[in-house]
Amino acid sequence: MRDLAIAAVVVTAYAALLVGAAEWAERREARQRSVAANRWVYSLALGVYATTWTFYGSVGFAARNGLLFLTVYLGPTLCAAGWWWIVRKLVRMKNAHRVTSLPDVLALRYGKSQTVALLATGILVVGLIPYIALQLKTMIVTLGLVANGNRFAYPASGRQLGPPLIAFLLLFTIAFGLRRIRPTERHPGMMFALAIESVVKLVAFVAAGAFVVWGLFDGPADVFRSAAVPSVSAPALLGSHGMGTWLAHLLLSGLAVLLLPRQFHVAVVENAEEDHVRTAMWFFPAYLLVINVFVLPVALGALALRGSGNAADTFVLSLPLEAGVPLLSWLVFLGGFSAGTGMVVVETTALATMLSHHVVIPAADTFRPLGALRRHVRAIRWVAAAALLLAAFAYERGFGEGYDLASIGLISFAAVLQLAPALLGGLFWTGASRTGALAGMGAGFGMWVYTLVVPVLARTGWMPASLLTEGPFGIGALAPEGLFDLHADPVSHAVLWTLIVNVGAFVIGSLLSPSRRPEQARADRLLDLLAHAPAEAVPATSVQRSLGAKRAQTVALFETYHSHDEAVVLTDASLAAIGGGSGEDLRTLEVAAFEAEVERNLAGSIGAAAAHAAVRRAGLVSHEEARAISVAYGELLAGLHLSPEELLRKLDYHRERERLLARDAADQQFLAGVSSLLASSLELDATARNAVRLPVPHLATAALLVLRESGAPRTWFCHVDPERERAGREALEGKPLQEPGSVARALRTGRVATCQPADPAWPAAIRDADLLEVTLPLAGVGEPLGTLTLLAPAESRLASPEGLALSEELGRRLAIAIDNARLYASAEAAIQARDDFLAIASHELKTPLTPLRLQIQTLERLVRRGELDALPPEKLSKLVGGADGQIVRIIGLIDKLLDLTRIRAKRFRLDVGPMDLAATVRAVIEQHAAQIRDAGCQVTVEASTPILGSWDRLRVEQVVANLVTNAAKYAPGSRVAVRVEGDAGCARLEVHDEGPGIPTAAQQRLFQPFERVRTSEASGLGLGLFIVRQIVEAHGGQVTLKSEPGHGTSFVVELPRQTPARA
Amino acid sequence: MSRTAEEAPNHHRPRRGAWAASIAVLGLLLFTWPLLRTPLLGIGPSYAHLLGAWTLIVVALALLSRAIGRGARERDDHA
Repeated sequence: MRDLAIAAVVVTAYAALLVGAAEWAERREARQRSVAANRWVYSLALGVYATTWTFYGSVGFAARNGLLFLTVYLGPTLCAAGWWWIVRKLVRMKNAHRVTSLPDVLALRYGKSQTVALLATGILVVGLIPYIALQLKTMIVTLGLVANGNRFAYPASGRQLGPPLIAFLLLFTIAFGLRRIRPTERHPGMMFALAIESVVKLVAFVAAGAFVVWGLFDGPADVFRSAAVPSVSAPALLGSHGMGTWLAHLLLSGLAVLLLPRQFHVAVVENAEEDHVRTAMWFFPAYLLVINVFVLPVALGALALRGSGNAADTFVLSLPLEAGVPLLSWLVFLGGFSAGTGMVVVETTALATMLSHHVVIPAADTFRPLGALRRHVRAIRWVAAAALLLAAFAYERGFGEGYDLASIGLISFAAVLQLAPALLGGLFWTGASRTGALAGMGAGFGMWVYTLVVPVLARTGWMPASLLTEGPFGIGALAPEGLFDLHADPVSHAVLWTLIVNVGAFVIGSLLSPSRRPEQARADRLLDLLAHAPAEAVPATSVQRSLGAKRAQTVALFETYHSHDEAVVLTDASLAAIGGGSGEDLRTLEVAAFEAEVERNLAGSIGAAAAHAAVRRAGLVSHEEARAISVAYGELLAGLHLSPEELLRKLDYHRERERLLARDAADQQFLAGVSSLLASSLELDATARNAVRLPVPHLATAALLVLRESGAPRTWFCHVDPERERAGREALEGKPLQEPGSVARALRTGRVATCQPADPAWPAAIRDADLLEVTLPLAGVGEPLGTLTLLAPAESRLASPEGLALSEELGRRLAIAIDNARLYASAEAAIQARDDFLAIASHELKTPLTPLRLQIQTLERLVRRGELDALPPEKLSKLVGGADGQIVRIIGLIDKLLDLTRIRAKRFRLDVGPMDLAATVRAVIEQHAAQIRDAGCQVTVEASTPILGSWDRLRVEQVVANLVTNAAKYAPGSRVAVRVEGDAGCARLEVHDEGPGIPTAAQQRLFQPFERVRTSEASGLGLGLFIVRQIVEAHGGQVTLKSEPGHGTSFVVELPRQTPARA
Repeated sequence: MSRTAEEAPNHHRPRRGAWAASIAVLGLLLFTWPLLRTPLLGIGPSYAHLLGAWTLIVVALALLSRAIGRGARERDDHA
């Protein structure tokens, strides 16, 4: 195994696998079936943060300093809570301005300043060279270990293994990151390969950890127990460090995770969709957690086995190698190799791009002899990458042996920290200025060099060692590692002092030299990215510019940095973006928009600051055109009679107005959809089902529709979560709804009822403790139809005035739809009742006609035969009396129909006069004695004393007759009790039978026209009780019904002694 | 007319920002507790505490992420 050739084959095979995967991802991207534009790939690719420092160095760091290694991962975990706000803002900046690096962002923020970009690039390159060197050192050491530990001992192995490794990494970097120049600067293949590498290093490290813990020991407890014996030099909790170091490292790592060029590149430049940030903000910390679980057990286990921490940085690999587990050793080696190559490729890609954008291109633009370089941007990046790798190799050769991995990494972290005040201040403080940024970064970087680089140089003999102990010029208070006699570990000391001078200079510089107006305007636009996007319409003016000339000029500008074909494509894209290119001319203000678009497209290739300078230099807008644009804007302002300040205010006003109009348009669209859906059905159930789904989730998390009906109210429920919806429905079906206070209030007042938390009367499955409840009354024609209750988070739109207004409008439309559905159902029922009535009336009218006809035919036959005289008188009387009875029955039916007509036409009149109700009742019962007897009923009358009053005698007789004959008809064979009584103001008539009773559901219906209890058992029009009620109510009284199935029926009529005058 | 998520009404943003800050502060407290308590814990229990606290913060971040996503979807529905 320990053979360099095998190692070379393994590395080459693994690299080929990664290149193949990357190529596949690129092809998928080209076919619009991206695998890289995926939230998990994005989150895994961020794992490039875990470099060889994590893979090997953390174990070494833990062996020396205990838990301090965790700060490098806990810091990013804490800061990840703010990623949604910070990284997303940077992503939007990238999308809007095609920035490709952190210096690009800073340049863009600070007036497209090349100086800012140059300084930031310088800091990052100088600060990151040691970090790349760290990766080289680790790869050389581990390659030597797996190839042949004795032949390739570090540092000597670097001379043999270093050059081919550098060449390999350069090729890898070019293949993955620098193959082509594209305005978006996204590399789907590289992202996919990084995701694979992240998985490989995670699996490898966890496997190594598990091997140590359970293969070499009997579990974690055994590891910690073995390391606790006195013979093992186990570290203290934080080694020799204290709380200050812990906090300083947390801060340092938390900020570095975004400021490191590779992290910025993956998190911002390679971001395909800003929502991916949301996933990364928890998945990335989770990844760091898992990869670190075994770090301390491996460190302590190795210390327990070896007794000392020598070569602790390679414990992860040396333990399986020494244990003779080749497969695991190769897996660990590949894991470390993945960690190193991933970091080097992305870091070198990012730094090389920065160098080309902010150093070489500006230099080529400035110095004429270098002008030809502009046509070779790709080659410049390749050379820059090679230079970076060589510089890192040189650093590794010069200083690598004397420092452990973590120390080198932390020095780099402290360097990139110097960009933090300018970046975060620039993102969130409108007062930050270019001068402040330059002052802060410059002072911070100077302090970094003094506190961290000078000591390295002093220790390696490049500077006098006495500098560290006696300070410069013998002033001890100025010693680089103990400024003003503050002593801490070198990194914490440097973090403290660099931040003090950096932030101080940044703030003071910004206050003393604020941004000039154009820079401030640009900064305001940039910081406004999270707000409304400005309208891009270009106002027309009468001055025309030749499109052909402008196009040729632009192609020439792009050709400075691209091939001819690419230049033409970019030019046409710029024209298309402003909606030009179809005619022969550009209007004056279109020229200004075109210039901005060209600059944006060029920024993707050479950086924002360089693009700005190049476009200005190319003279894309001539002086004459600039004047024309200025005049055009001036004319616009003059036409508007506005000063620039007023214009800004009006712009703000109109922007807000546009936002409100857009919102209202969306609301109207929503309401139009609501109306359309509600109009799609007139069936009540379907309407209710649709209605309850309408506000979810547009306005609410859940909605509950309660419709009033006779008996228990009916409910419909909808929730965004199907499980909750199911549970809510079950809860509502399980037991009758106790009307909550909010519903009662809304129904009583006819106004919206809001409460928070939701009314406790709702079933627990429906309400949430923190939800706002809004109950809307559904007002129909007449009584309220019911309520619609909306449940939404307290901060949701529903709580706002416009949300409430929208929900009220929704309630109005819903009420109309439900009312229509109910009226439609009533109309359907009325039509059905009419048809039933016609059938019944026909039958009822025909029933007496048939015997009447038979009786008349009998008489006719007797007359024709001359037998009439021979007929006994009693038979003749019976025959004629029978015919007369049928005629009376027909007249009774017709009278009822006439009564109905009068009632409907409101022509029902009473002929009121004094009468005795008791006597009338007895008389009516006497009149119907035969019918009662035929029905087998026994009638008892309690009407001993006269009950005098002023009523319409005939109508009262009609009431009594109806009730008594109904009892005989529907309760045949039973006892019927009639009781008449009265008090000073009121007379009371009760007719009780002991029949089968009337079902509850039918009781109210009985007083409606054409309704009967059992249509099949008895004849009749179904008008009797309707007319009874009308007569009684016309007298100012009331009729009530008490009945239970199986316990008989009582009709009670109450009549005031004096009928009201209106009757 | 379409709108971006940011343009749509967003009453959740300050609340979610406060949750994010709370998670960061809680995390800082949990991560520094083993170094502040007296007597100091051993390295093993401290490590176990830190891993547990780390897991808790990751879960909190996942919940925050979920809440942000739900808010964004609601805003998209508004738009």
